[in-house]
Amino acid sequence: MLTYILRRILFMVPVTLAISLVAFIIIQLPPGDFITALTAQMAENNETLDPETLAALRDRYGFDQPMIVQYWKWITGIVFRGDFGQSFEWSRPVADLIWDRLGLTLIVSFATLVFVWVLAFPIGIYSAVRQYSWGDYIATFFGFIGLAVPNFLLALVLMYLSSRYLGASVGGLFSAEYVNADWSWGRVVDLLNHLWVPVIVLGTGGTAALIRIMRANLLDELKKPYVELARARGLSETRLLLKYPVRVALNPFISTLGWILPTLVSGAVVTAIVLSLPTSGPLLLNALFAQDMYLAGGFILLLSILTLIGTLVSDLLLAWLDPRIRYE
Amino acid sequence: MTHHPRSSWTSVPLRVAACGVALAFAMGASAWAQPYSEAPMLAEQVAAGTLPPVDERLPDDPLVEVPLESVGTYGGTWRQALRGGSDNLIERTVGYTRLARWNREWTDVIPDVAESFTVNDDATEFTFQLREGHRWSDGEPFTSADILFWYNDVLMNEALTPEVPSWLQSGGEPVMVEANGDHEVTFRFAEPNALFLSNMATVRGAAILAASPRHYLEQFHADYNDQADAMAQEAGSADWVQHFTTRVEYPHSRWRDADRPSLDAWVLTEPYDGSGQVVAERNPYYHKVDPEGQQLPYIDYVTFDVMESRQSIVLMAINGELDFQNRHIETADARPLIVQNQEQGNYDLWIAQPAWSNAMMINLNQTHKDPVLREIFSDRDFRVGLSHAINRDELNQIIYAGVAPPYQAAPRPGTELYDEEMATQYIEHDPALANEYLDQVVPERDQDGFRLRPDGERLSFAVNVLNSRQFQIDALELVRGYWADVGIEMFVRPLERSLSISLRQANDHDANVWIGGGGYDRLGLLDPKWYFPFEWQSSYAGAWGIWAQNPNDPNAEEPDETVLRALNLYRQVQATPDLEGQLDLMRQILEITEEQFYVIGTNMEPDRVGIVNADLRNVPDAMPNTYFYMTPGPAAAEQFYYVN
Amino acid sequence: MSELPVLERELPADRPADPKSTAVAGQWRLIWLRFKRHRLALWSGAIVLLIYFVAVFSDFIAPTTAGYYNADYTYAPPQRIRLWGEDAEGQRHLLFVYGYEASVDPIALTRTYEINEDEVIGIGFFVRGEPYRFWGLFPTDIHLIGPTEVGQPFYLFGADRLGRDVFSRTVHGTRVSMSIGLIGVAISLALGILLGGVSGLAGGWLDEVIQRVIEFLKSIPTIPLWMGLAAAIPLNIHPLIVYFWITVILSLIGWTDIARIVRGRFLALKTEDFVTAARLDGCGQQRIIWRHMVPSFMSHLIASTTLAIPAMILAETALSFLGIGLRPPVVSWGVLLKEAQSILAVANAPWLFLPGLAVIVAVLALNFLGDGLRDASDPYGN
Repeated sequence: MLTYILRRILFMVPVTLAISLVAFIIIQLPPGDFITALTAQMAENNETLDPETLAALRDRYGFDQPMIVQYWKWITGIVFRGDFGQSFEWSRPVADLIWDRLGLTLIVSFATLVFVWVLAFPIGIYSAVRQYSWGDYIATFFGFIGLAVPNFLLALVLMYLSSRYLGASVGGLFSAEYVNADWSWGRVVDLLNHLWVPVIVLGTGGTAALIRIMRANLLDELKKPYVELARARGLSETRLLLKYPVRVALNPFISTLGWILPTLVSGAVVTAIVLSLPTSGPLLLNALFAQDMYLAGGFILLLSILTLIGTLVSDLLLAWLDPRIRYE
Repeated sequence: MTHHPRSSWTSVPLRVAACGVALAFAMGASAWAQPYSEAPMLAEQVAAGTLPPVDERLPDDPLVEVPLESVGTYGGTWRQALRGGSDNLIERTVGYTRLARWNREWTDVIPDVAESFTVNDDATEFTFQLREGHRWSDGEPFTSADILFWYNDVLMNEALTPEVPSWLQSGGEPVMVEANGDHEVTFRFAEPNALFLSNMATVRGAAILAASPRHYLEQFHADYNDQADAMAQEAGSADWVQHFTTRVEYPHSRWRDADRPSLDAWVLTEPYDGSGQVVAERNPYYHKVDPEGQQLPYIDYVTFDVMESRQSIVLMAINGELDFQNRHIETADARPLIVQNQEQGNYDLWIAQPAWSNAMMINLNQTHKDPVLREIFSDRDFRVGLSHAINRDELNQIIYAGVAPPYQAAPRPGTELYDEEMATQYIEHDPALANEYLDQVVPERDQDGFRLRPDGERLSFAVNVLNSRQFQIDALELVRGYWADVGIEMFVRPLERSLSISLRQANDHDANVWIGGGGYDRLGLLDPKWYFPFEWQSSYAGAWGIWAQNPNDPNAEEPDETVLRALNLYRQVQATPDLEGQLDLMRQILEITEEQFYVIGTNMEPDRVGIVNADLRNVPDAMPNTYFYMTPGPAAAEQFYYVN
Repeated sequence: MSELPVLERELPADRPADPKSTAVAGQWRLIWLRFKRHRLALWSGAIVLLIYFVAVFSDFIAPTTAGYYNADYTYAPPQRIRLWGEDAEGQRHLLFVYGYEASVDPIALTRTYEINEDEVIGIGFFVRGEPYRFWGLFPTDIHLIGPTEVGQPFYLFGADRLGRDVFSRTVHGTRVSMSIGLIGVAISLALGILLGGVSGLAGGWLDEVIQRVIEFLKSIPTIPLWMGLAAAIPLNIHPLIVYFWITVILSLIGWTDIARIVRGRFLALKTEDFVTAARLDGCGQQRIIWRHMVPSFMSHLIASTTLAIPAMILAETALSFLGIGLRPPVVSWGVLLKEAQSILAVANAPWLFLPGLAVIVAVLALNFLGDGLRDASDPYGN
């Protein structure tokens, strides 16, 4: 097993490099560069920058160099100096920008994850065991409403209702007086007061999906002969359920569990934008639109490494969960 | 719907002075008798010994700002919201400080940081008197040496400024700046530069004072600090040039640095660096007082919440979480909410008068790379025909709820340059007449009734539109129908903005639509791109516009006689010192524009609304709304105050 | 819906198996018999058929064309269909709606509508309305339902910002949303099962390669990819075709999740007796995957497919944000929901979200149909 893990980790190096190169190229696929995007953003509001200023910017950021030179500079900077470069838009080091947002992003993501799991697993199991019961239909019905209602819409509705009836806007994660404050009890309470909206918005879709998946997997398992056998041997229903079918039913879920890792860091982009959350999702999206290539590139590199680690973790978990699975 | 008498929309001045008649002051600034006073938050610091007394902080001759309505009281926070990482709202509000700036009415340029200025007769020499005893926000003296630092070490430094901006050039030569003593600087041009002061009052003028705090900036400059490069790399920049410029660059990146001293009414305490709310507090050394000797600004703090979506800014507004703002909440789709929620949000409305004349101009690329399309688009009869085919009254009713009358791309009514004929030519909806015009250019049709090009193919072209401008997409979709009725096949092509701009810069578009047309006199003078091909944004003749800006660009093409004549007239505008003379020349240019009919206008850009906290005073009822006016900068926010 | 579960349980007892029919029935007949007993699935199947019927005949079923607009009724709220009314001319109608009384607010720039009970607008079937070409071929102006008099307001789902009929647009949107989007889901599913199956079953270097490809695809940033594509797509290509290819590309990238899941299951299953048995029987790889292993987690596949459908329909929303979504005059449910994406709609025109109802109904119907089919496909089980 250890050699397997070592081999996988070794494999990550070339894959990461390949991803970094392709990502770097793809980031620059859209026509123009950061200066074009900046010009476009200003022109959209009928604002302009002097052509001399634009020329100076282009010169300063080295956009006129060939792409492979730019890539070499970027990747060697990361590998040898741990320097992810500077964001054009924010004039700040990329690492600082990402780091700034990481904490709150993780808080939102974890809160959502807990919300989803706590809600979805019991309901999913119930739905499967009591298939075609009242409760199952209700869970299915609301589940699909949760899925078919786009997150941005739910976010808008919650924001509007909260402003209409609670008299407070729910954008962001803090009230004005706590945005820049140091951590304190008051700030934690304020965060919790704001956190419920993104958690509900982000969680509904995920909960609904997970309920369906859990229910389906369990249904597939409950029909298998070994369940009958166990039942015949007199195992209590709960014990029987949790010991085998649920465990096996977790398999498909575990297969992609590791990919939660990158999403924890990137967060949900669209919802975060609508709700103006100070998380990393909007930062990444804006970087892509603004063609802020070092910021976008650094981000994608980080996410892809997390994806690789996530896949490995998933594979290991699969084997741990189900002894039938062997990697040679 | 309205809860406050001031917000009545029936009378034209929206915010009729509810707090009494505006006071008139005829007091000479130099004959100051009474002692200066200051905000309580500063008085505390003076008492604690951390700040010098107000008399020492103010210049010897502070600028006396006459309030719009009444003398105010200190206190409060001005809450605003900005969007994303490249919003210039801070530049427009906190940052609108210049040697000389626009007056509130946008009719003239008035002294601001400079105590006074003089211009010689042929507009080649501009001399600014600085205030004695004027200090930066950190207490260091502000003198002509600071301006010289900007000139010698920033503008004339080839690494920092590879190319001198054109407003600081004349006759191909960069400006010469020299100091006469500590408190006088002269800007000298090789040839007349009549629009210099106007340009200074726009966003461009920020360049000078942003890069002037010598005592602070020297540490980042390689000429003054051997370690500048090392320092830059430590901070994550590639070299000292990058490190230096991002600190002084307007309109965005200079706000990333909260340590930079300034002469603004408020100075940043929390920077605009993506980590949270941006906060500015009063500058204890600000150079203005009110007629009673109270140092301005009245308001203690300015905050900017950094939001991602426009929708959440609109919600903040209707919740009463913004105090004075029009940016991001003035779009048509937000308007009903903004107007209907005045009571809930405790705000009144003010009018943001669009400086642009047209809500949607259709620009057919008359320098198209395809010679056949170029020939057709260049035919004036073709454009006149298309203009007559458009049902602008219907557009007005459907898209603009009836408040945007049919209009061509021409100066707005009530301006000096207004010309009724130009504004209303070819504006009637008349398909028969349209067909008559079009038959003279492209008479042949195919079996579906669409007109054919001379080479026998169906005439068909795409109009690019920004995908963020839903109302223009809607309007174009209607125009597509009107044009189909007269046998013209057009595609509406919504594009992401970077792509749209790249296509324009490469002259790779059939046609596009844009808001525009210089509606006001000052704007027409400063930014005539919609009246004749003047820069790449003049997308109705992309290649000519690019030529006018840079003849060596690969996409540039020398324009025809008429355009050259207009360009020549505009050069004369730039060399004519008096406004009347400039406007006369501008009228000649507009005659050419009217005759050429380069762009097809649709409807007049309607008034927009901004919000103002019902307790905020000294705010105008209406003001021009454009980047060239730096809305709301000239409204002098330092004299806004809260009554409660 | 309430007694359905009960029925499901009691039916076998109620109706003792008729030896003549079931004992000798073939597999397909058994499947059908079993499916028929699943009432909810049966109804869902009927709804799915109905949806496709609407998609095929949408031009005719919709009261008006997708692009028809009317300046007098921007943001008009939905009307209620009423029974038996007499209009101004004294004519009696079986179905009718009341007209609107509109007032304009010149500052907020909004129209406010009141129901005008004096104005009775008769509703009829097979009425004349906006001309259109049926299936793009036959010019006609007959609509299944609409106001008896041409040009009268008839807004079942209300009107949008241009005074277009949201109901008609929803009907027109059925065609794109229930075809192209589903193709994308199907491609994803097929690719995912195939590659995931091979990866799990074969193992070794093949597994290694496929897994690294998955990681690679998962890491590629799609937004700049779309932005680059938007610049490259030639103009004269019909927006529907562009949309089709984008859906295909989306599914070429989007199969990774299913593939991981299938692989995980196969890793677990490949040592099971029935797989070994099948292999010993000389079954090919493909046959083992599709006939033996896939059915053993059918529920899961049905669930993830039905989960993917709303995601695909809603994906358009994001695409048009990038400038490569559907362009007018083509409408789809995603386009309609995207147009509703503003605070203004939430506050003043909530009926713009009614197309979302179509998405929910379609997805629920497909899901229950899938459940029914899954149960039925195993006719010998319980």
